[in-house]
Amino acid sequence: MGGLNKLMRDRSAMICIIFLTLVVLAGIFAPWLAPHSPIDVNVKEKLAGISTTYPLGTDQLGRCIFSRLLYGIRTTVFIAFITMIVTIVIGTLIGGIAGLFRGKIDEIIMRICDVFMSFPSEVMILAIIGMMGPGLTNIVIASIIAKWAWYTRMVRSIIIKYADKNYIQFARVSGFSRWHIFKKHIMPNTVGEISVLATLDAGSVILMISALSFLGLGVQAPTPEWGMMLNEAKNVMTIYPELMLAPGIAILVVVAAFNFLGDSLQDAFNVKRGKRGKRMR
Amino acid sequence: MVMLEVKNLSIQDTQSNEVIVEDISFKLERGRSLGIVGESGSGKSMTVKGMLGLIAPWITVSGAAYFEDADMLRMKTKSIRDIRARHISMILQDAMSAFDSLDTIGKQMQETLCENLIISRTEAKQVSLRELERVGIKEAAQVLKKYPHQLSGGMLQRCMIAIAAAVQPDIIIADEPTTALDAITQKEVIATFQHLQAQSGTTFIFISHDLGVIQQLTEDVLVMKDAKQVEYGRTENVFQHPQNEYTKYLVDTRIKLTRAFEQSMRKDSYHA
Amino acid sequence: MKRYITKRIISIIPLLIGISFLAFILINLSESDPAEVALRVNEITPTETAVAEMREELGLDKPFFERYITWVTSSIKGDFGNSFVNNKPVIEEIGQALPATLMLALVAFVMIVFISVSASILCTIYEGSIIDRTIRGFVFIAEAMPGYWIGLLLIWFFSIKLNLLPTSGMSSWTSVILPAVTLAFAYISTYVRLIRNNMVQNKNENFVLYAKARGMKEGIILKRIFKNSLQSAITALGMSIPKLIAGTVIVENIFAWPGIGRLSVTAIFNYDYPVIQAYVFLMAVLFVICNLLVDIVTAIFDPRMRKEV
Repeated sequence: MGGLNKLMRDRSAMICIIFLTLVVLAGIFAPWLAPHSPIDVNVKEKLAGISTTYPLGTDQLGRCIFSRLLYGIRTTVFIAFITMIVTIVIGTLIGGIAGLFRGKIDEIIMRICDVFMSFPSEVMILAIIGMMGPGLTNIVIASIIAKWAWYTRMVRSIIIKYADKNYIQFARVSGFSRWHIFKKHIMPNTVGEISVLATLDAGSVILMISALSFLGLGVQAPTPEWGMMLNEAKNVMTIYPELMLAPGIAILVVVAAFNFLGDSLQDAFNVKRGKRGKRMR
Repeated sequence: MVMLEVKNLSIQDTQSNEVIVEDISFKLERGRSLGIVGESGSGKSMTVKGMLGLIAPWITVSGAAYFEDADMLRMKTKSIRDIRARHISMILQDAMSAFDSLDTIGKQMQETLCENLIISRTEAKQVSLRELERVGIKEAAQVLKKYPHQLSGGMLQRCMIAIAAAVQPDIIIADEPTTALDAITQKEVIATFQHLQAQSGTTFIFISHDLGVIQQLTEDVLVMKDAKQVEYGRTENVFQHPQNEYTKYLVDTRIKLTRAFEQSMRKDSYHA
Repeated sequence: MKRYITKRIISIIPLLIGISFLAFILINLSESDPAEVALRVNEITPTETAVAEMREELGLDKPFFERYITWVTSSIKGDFGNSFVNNKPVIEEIGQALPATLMLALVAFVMIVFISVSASILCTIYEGSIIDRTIRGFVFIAEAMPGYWIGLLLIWFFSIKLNLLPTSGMSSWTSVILPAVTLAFAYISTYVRLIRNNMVQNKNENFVLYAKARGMKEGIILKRIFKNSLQSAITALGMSIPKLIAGTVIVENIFAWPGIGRLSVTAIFNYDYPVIQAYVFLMAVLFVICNLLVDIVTAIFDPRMRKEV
């Protein structure tokens, strides 16, 4: 795997991977790492500065910001993960059917995708939340419905791209079974490309989920969530603007790490760019 | 008279640290066309592109390339631009992508002529028509109005030849001028080159992996393999008595191919 | 050309039917009975008779398909029913809010076009230089910043700290600056990235190499690069218009901007289904129409496109 070697040598990409792994671990072990409960109100200690007891201070209700940030990983980042995984599974199944069987079924699936993709995803999500009501489960469902069509399309086009490649045509002529060709050639390539696309997309899903929570449409209080923390910070912006920093930076850094890693993966595995004319330059 | 002299030209890609061309030297005399042969990726095109500064910023060129005693590698952007086209014209390999697809051939031809010959637009149009006819295009006026995608590869190739010839440069470099064409068009394009060689005093550099083309069109030849020059001399000598193993191999395969081809042709005529 | 346009217009008809159908069935996704909701939001106890009456009034007692036809035919005439909350016609509500949103989106769009195109050209000319790297660094960070956070930071800096610009509402012309900047911010980074990469890629295309070999001046070559990149830029910028209008949701809520984004979020909190439905339907139609216009404009620009289809 030339791509994997290239990635291993890319130091900034490795830093992103390590950082994101740490974030995930921090989220998993939040109950052990957090110095305080993320939801316990302690008005006496409200808006405290940075101290040894409160590493990042407290908010207007006296809750430990550091603990809320840690627990926030579980909502913001993990929910984004769940959304992505379900979306990709659906997209791969339906896109796989369209790409492998082609013909009429492909035609029908693509037309349905057209309709879903003619809604801007923001509008689609609002529409679904509008009908089902605000809430965490609903934003996940809404995001999946808004995104599945795009993944379906991508999976389909990747499969078709590889199925039309010469060596697969050759394998077909030399009498390998469909299943063998699929397992040996099409599947590994598709999985690779989809994971690159998913990494590139992860940042935007995190942004979307936190934005919905910011609007009050997603996670409901007092569950800690980064977008929600910013919404709460907004209320005391005039007297204590520092409160906006921690959650904002947390989102920024995690999303930036995903975007950067996605770009590096794309470069390393040459997804969707082709090798066109490096020499020609 | 030596017009162009390349001395110890090396080209390196600083991004991948790959050596693209290593230590190439040759001389080009007026009226003696040069062929550069080698398999694709051996650095043939890069040699001439490097010489003319037609390379990406991360690619470095060392050595020297004298055009009439001035080293092109050490020239300012403006001076090298004056040499390109006006003194050394290039015909690119892939005619289909060489033209800007958003503009007509006529427009692109005209801008080249206006820029390099310093003539008016109407004059440029007349020159265009004349030059297109000279390379064997009959409906020249129609071709000028066409967009690149509306013309065939052979036609576009000929338009490039016409543009290169119209500027009346000292040297025309043709980079794989026949590779993308079918056999019949190839023949016609080669005939056009022969015609031009006879008519104008232009000296050519042909880059090709097709020994046949080189044999027909050049006086001298430079053989390249893996970025290095392996043989350089008079075309007849090199082809009749190849010194280097690789050249021998090239010539042998060529002969075998021709024989097989001739044999099959004979069979065909026999049956007929 | 004409044939291409007619064909494109005809091709969106099934799409529009699909969209209207989707927008319509969304309401059936809801767990609660719209008739009951309509009563509740007006603080009427949903007794069985009241619900039944309401169902009749809303036409919910009719079969699904018939309801869809009625809804579509009246929607085309601009009748989206009445808001559950204040009983005003939905179209009136949207009509009142739309100009504010359009103005916000327009100002943001002008900013986006101006900044992203000029930044991309700078990056292309000075590829690899400090200017290029600074712009790209900025783009990278801007892409990862949540839009609402930028909005909050801008409010804090320009309104609270410097007291220069109003924080919210639509009191004077300066009110539009902060929301428009916030809205433009996220898109500028996307478009600089897109247009720049496209131009830099075009810089390495064969036609540029040949133009150089033909002895053309830098300026002319740059113009050719730009023209070739324009097509994808127009496509992208054209597609950004409906996205911008849809994207106003968050910005309008931060800045209390009285547009349709705010209207729709309020409607969501109030379970005001007719408003949500109308909003979704109009947005999707807008999206499709912009798509169509972009395709046609692209076809006018690119001679290759005209022959196809």
